[in-house]
Amino acid sequence: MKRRLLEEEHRIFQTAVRSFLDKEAVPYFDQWEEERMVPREFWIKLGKQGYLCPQAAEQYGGIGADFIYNVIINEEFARVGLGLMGVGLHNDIIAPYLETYGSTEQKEHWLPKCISGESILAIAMTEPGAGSDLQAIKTTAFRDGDSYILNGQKTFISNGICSDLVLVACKTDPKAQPAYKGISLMLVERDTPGFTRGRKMDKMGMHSQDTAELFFEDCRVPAENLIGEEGKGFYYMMNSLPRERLVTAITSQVAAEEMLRETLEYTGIRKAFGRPLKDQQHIQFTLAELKSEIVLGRTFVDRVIEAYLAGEDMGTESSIAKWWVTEMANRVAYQCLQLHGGYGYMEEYPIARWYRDIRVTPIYAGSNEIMKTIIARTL
Amino acid sequence: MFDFMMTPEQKALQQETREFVKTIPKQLLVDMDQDKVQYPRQYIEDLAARNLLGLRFPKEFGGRGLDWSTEIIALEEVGVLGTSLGCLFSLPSIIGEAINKFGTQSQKEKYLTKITSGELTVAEGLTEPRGGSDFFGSTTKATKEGDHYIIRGQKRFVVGAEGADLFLIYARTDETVPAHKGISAFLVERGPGVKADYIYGLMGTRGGGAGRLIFDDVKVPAENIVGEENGATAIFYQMMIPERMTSAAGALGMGRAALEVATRYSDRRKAFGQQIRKFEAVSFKVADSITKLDAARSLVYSAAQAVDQGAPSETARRMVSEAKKFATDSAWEIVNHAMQIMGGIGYTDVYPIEKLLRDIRLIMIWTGTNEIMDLIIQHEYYKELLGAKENVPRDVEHDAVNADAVEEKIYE
Ligand SMILES: Cc1cc2nc3c(=O)[nH]c(=O)nc-3n(C[C@H](O)[C@H](O)[C@H](O)COP(=O)(O)OP(=O)(O)OC[C@H]3O[C@@H](n4cnc5c(N)ncnc54)[C@H](O)[C@@H]3O)c2cc1C
Ligand SMILES: Cc1cc2nc3c(=O)[nH]c(=O)nc-3n(C[C@H](O)[C@H](O)[C@H](O)COP(=O)(O)OP(=O)(O)OC[C@H]3O[C@@H](n4cnc5c(N)ncnc54)[C@H](O)[C@@H]3O)c2cc1C
Repeated sequence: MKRRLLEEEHRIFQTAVRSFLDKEAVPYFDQWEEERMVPREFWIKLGKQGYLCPQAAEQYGGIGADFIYNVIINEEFARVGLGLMGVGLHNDIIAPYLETYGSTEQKEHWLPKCISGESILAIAMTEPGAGSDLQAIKTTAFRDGDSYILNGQKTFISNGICSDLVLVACKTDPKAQPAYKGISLMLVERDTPGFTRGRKMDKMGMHSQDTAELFFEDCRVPAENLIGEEGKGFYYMMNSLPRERLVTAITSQVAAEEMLRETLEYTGIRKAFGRPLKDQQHIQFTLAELKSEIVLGRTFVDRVIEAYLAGEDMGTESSIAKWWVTEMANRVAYQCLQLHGGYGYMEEYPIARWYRDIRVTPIYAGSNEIMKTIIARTL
Repeated sequence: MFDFMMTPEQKALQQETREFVKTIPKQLLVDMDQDKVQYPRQYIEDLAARNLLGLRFPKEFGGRGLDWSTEIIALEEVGVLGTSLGCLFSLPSIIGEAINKFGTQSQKEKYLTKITSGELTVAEGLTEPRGGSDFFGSTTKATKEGDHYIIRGQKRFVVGAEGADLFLIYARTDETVPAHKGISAFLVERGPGVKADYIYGLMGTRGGGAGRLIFDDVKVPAENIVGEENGATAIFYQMMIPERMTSAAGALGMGRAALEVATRYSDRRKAFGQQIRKFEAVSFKVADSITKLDAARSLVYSAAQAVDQGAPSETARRMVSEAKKFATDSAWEIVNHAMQIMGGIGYTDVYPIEKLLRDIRLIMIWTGTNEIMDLIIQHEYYKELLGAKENVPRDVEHDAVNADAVEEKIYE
């Protein structure tokens, strides 16, 4: 079946992104995994290509692109490796807060740098004591003259080390009832006194993605760094998180497709008992099942993308896509590694990396259990 | 085995092993996972010093003369240390089996005694670059020349390749006959012509010396052949038992370890104002995990009993294969659940779950993949069922209303 979502011009763009990455990312990716960081020069190259925040309005230096272009960027970057997820995070998860809720001055001040790659974005919601339960965050921001004073700790922050601008969820009114009404979003710039970064966390996978702890200790942030209105942060997040879930579904879907592609190749070449693995019925059926799950995932993900492009509400559907596709991609990873036999357990085969990387997807961007609470609420 | 089923002696062994396991410094585990330690010889010597190696073998050769039902207790306990240390503990039990069952008196005296005493550390090489599942596709050759053999070939993914003193190696001794009639097993000491390369960047199971072995015209005395010349098929089938029993019992330890960490975590960690164990999404994962662990342990124990009680070798082989498949699959699911229960922190090195999840991914692959287990299980079961003659149970096929409509029962 032809993929209906992509028109001719999209395919041209897709080819361009792919050949750019083949040249600028693929050859270095193992090194970035080793160094546990994507270099800043790469971000600058992305900026030059127009791959950062392509959706941004032209007046800020963007190209006002349709979300479909972001989809393509997410897909092509995921194909190289999930460790590049920081780019999608920057483009699709954080920049939209600034675009949607930021003031004109804020946009003029920061968006051009986000587009050029000078300013890398991170979003800091999770704290050691509050992950799923965002309302329970403890970081505070109290108004003091024309600034806010931030105190608190964040953890598991993607782009945590390389980011220049961090969107921090904090409580401007910790006593608010209900608690979510006291949450605000604040932009904190690199080198703001009182803002320090903890260690880069060692993880099972996503090695080139720098995940870190962030600390705010009497960190003075200009009041004009508040995004939107005080007390509206939770509301902004609830409005934006469906897009984050959709992006996670998109990248996990691509991961599943890539893993199957590699495994089809491998099982076609590798022989046991005198014939290619692919000739064993068990292996054919395993591959057939994976293919079926992947096609079902693709069909649904594309449908949610379409809904999003059409401006339909996809709050529930993005949650469905997020939990189902991430779990499906983990099943695919498990089976594809198994079909590689002992070789799959060696890092020189990409399946080993995919397997380690994909395991986080049912946990982050809202755990899959949280997705189910969201879906259940609508039933 | 379950605590309530243990004899006082078995309980004592459990306690003894637990004490030993607690002495292993965390730093060793960390250094091995980072490949800083590539072969922890001291660990094997420490096990030997406590007489914990080769528990099943006769006392005269340094064992304790125990049965499988008892050895699995120790295997589960050591299993909590992860795949590398678990495997290094198992290898004497595996290689010792070949010597104990098929070896000559002098091989037992010369080798088995030194294996249990920790003087000789061991490894087993079956897998070759082109043949893992397909054991009989192996191409390493041994050519007889006077009173010795010349071995030439390559073995891959051998735990302990780096560091072991003695290798049990299978090689083709006759290429004019079908493979299963032309393979022999040899005890090969590390020496001239034996080259080990610690080359694999493994996802887990690091620091256990897993590497490639190259035999470049290695001279092996003829008396180092184990069993008959061209008779390794019998050894290969026998070896399935220790290989798989150790993988299965070790898996129980890994699953248990992860489940304990995650269960405690879910009792402490709060979200939405309550302990996360209060959410059925969490507590039912715990329930599912402990059910699987108990079921797996039951099957491992039954398989051990099958061997101990002298069940027909086909039955023993089937049950051990079932135990390997079920215990490893279950243990993986348990560790995977554990990671989900822990949320984001489980993915980091703050808790050992991410390491266990990397380690445990191997066990559905090694000592015969779980697909190969299915191959064996079905094979033995068909044979058993179709060949059954005595004490046959009621055949419910005849209970159907139209059971006697023979003209409807068409098979071709
Ligand atoms: C690699 C990585 C990158 C990340 N990047 C970012 C980032 O850039 N920015 C950011 O802010 N955060 C980030 N996170 C954090 C991530 O979003 C959280 O880890 C996730 O939301 C889960 O929160 P938690 O870890 O605190 O788990 P907890 O909330 O403690 O959950 C523990 C377990 O309880 C379950 N649970 C919790 N509540 C319920 C319930 N009501 N019903 C049923 N089950 C429940 C969860 O599903 C989970 O299984 C990242 C995490 C990782 C690992
Ligand atoms: C870290 C590590 C340590 C190891 N330690 C040792 C060791 O100490 N000694 C040793 O000898 N070996 C060891 N092994 C090797 C291990 O036992 C083999 O990797 C395993 O037997 C699988 O063989 P293979 O890798 O060649 O996979 P293949 O045989 O190529 O199998 C690939 C896939 O095809 C499937 N498959 C194959 N045939 C069939 C069939 N007929 N029907 C259905 N599916 C089939 C397999 O199940 C698997 O999923 C180790 C491996 C690793 C990774």
